[in-house]
Amino acid sequence: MRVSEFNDYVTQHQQSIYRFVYRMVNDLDDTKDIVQETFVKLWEQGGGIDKNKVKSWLFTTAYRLTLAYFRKGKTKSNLEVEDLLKTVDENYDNFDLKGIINQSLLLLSELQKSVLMLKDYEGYAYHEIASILDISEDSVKVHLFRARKKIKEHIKDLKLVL
Amino acid sequence: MRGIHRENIEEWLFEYHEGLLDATQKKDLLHFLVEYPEYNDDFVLWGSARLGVEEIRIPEEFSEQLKRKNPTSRWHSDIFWSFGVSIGLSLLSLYLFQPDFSVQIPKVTIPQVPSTLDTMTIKKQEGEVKAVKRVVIGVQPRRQDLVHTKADTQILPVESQDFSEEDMALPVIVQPLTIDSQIHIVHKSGLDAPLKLSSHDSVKARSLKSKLDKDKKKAKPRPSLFMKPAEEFQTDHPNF
Repeated sequence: MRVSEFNDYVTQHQQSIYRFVYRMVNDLDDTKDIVQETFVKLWEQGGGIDKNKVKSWLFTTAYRLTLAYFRKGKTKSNLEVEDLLKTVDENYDNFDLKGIINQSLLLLSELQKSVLMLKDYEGYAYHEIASILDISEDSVKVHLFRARKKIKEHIKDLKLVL
Repeated sequence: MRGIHRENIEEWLFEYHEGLLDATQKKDLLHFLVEYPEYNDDFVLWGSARLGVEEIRIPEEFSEQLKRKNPTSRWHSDIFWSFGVSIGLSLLSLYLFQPDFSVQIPKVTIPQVPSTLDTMTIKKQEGEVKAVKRVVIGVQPRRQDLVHTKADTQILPVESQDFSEEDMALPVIVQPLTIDSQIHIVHKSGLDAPLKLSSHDSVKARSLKSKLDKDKKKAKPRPSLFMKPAEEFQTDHPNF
């Protein structure tokens, strides 16, 4: 892989990968580490990846690195999650529904978050998400259903409180 | 087709917003919602439960860190690859068209028969040579003649017009000669070059013994450094 070709891939996909990882780990430094490692692995792969599958390959790698990150125990403590959820309340006070939904990602599991982001942010079809995350299409549908239902319930609960 | 009821209304709402229902199913769902309006809020919330446009932007400096610096321009890179391919093809063609390259070198060395110094030839000249060998070392353009001589035999190069200046500069003679000493004559010229020391025209051996004898005869007795005392001071003189 040529340097110019690699840099083109960085330019095209860095924003999506960065957003995906950041929403997963909610930490700026850790996000940078994972994104950096993801693109380093792309460089090490050389020309062994189909040009049309580079983006999905990047998501797969980023997802696996993120899971490894969680396995190391680098997760937000309950206290930090509570603080983040307080900002959800503030957002709701300001009728910032988008902020509420984005913050409610904290309520989802890693797999539910991944499925939801790949569907809503990137517009991937079920079979593409299944390929990226190495699960079945039925599982994609189930996790997406559960993710949306949790968000819907969260919004509904906030609405009832108000 | 499965019907819509209170237990599975969530799945229907989800599939409606995912775009998984056909026209008939959509119509059935809307009829159900008209019949049970308490689910209208859920219908709206399911539609809201999706991520909007994300405003997270990657930091500019980090974006640049991800990119790799190009050590050479693309133009140089193309030149590099072209050069590499051409070198590769050249080596491949050499390999294909001259597969017996290693065998051809001995063919060059084999005709060098005259380089073997003939004992009889040497004797015929002026000296006496015990034995002569020729040793070819590897494939290097360098050969070595090993000459066994007797104690008083000296091998000298003969100045000839056939010698080039380079050949004359070679250390051909080894002195002093000792009993059965071995003289290594190293030819630094290439294998394809004529071997100058290959015949009696190039090398002659002559007896050193006769030369030494002549030198002894010519030598005069060296005067003593001590003066002889006068007769009266000699110990055996009667007056001492």
